[in-house]
Amino acid sequence: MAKDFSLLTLKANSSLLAFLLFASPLLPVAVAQEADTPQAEAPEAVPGTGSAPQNPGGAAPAESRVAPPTGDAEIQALLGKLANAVANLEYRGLVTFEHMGVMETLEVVHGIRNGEPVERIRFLTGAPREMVSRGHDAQCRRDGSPLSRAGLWSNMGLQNVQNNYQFLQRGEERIADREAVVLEARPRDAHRFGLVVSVDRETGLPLKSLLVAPAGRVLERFQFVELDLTAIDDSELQPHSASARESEGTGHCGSLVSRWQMGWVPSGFKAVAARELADGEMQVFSDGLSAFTVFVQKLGPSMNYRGRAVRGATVAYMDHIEVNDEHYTVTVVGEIPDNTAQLVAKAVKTPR
Amino acid sequence: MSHGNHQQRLDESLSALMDGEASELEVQRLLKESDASGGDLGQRWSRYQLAASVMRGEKVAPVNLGLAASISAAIADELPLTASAEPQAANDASAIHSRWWRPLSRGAVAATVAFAAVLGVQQMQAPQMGGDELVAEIERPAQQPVQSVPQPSGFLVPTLNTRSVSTNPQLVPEQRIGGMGVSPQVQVVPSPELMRHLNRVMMEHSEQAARVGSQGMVPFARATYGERPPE
Repeated sequence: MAKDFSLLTLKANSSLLAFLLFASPLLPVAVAQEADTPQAEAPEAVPGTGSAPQNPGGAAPAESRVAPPTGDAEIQALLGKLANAVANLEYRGLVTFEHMGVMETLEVVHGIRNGEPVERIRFLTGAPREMVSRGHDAQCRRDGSPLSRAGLWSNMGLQNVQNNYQFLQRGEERIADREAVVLEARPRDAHRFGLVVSVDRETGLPLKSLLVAPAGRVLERFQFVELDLTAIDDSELQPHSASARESEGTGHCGSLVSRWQMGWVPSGFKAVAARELADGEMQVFSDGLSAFTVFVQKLGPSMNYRGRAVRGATVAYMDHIEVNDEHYTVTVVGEIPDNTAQLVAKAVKTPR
Repeated sequence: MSHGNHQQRLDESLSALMDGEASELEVQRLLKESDASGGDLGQRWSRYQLAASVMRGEKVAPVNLGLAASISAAIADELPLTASAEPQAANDASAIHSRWWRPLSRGAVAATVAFAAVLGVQQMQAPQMGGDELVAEIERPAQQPVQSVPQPSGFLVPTLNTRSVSTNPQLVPEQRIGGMGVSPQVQVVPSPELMRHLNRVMMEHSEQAARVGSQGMVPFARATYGERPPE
């Protein structure tokens, strides 16, 4: 036992040393090279500049586009496993969540009750924050939208996602004492961010996920430290703090048709949910991995702000339009590039 | 051109040193450069340290190199005063006065340091205490997240973007053309009303995104992150 252990550490040490030796003198060079590669590829994919036919309506069914790359069967299987695990697995764990140069730790619990996922998430650092979310999946699933949560699992959803991202397998690593396969979803245009997800080999659960901006800039990292896959007790799904927010399944998947038209959305994004708010409405768009939400609200002239606000990986671009002498505040929120949010906000059109 | 490369390398070495990951070579390079460039590198180093301390929420007394220099200068200036008092031994009262005066003036210098330090702390701490986001304006090195495993090639060195420190969204209004002398990233301190709106839409978005995406619980983490205790 002790022998095994020392052997292991020796191995770990030497590989670490090798990496350091290799990396430190060459690091600046390597960084420069890495920074160049994605940028060099990006322009081809930028809509409007490339030769690829762009659909300004953005509502073109993805199926009609160029045949999806015949993805590696292993990647396909892994994506299906991931989608299934995210929706149907019971687990609890400790997680680190980094963005904005700050790292926080969280406790997450994912249970299934009456076939619906119930999630509890609680920050263990900083101000006490806790949320319990339950029963929100039913309507999305009933609707059968290919982009709903289990979307990756269906062939159509998978195909759509592969039209927008190129999936690459990037080796293996160990996270939370488990073997994981590293998958990279590389965006095919400049309107979405990339993802690097380490998928648990056994269950398909994402053990680590990075949101990556162009040039390899990591905006956010969510990573398990400890994972427990045993069944979840009811008590674990109860809020642990008095200030916990409970979120009931009030979302609708495509059940409300928005009265606002979108003049343009990035290709591959489809409206997947819409909801009426007290002072306006919101419409959610997704390409299967990334999502943004368009809010159009009557908030009064004091909210006629034009500009963007950023928190971690999330950007909110605010704009306003005037329809029949009424002021409406438009806010586009999402984990998408700033420019894309701005373009979408400008594309909100007068209702018919 | 080569200067830019050199500068970039130095920057990288400096942040590596911040993270305690600088190689022997890089340390040598930094030491060499700090000799050559005078105070510039040293000042940046101490600013980085200061920013890091502030981000960790430590109460810090910034080491103001300029202040240290001016204290040295002040003490140097003082010597002729006591020296000139010695020869005028005829005037005993003056000698006594100078003997009393000397420690007193040293104390006065020390008090000045303490005051400046406290003032410095308040200036650094106040924005954070107020829950505002001005802290982000402090020059901050790009922070390297701790790497447990060598990253697979292709997305090397994922530097965590440090766009903001507080849980509040950061505001950047659209630039008006013709605005002069304005830096391209003007930070606006938003009205509480605007802040509430931004927090609300970000939370609503994240919750909805959790329902349609395949990202597991990440969107829930985002939704809960900026949550405010009820006021």
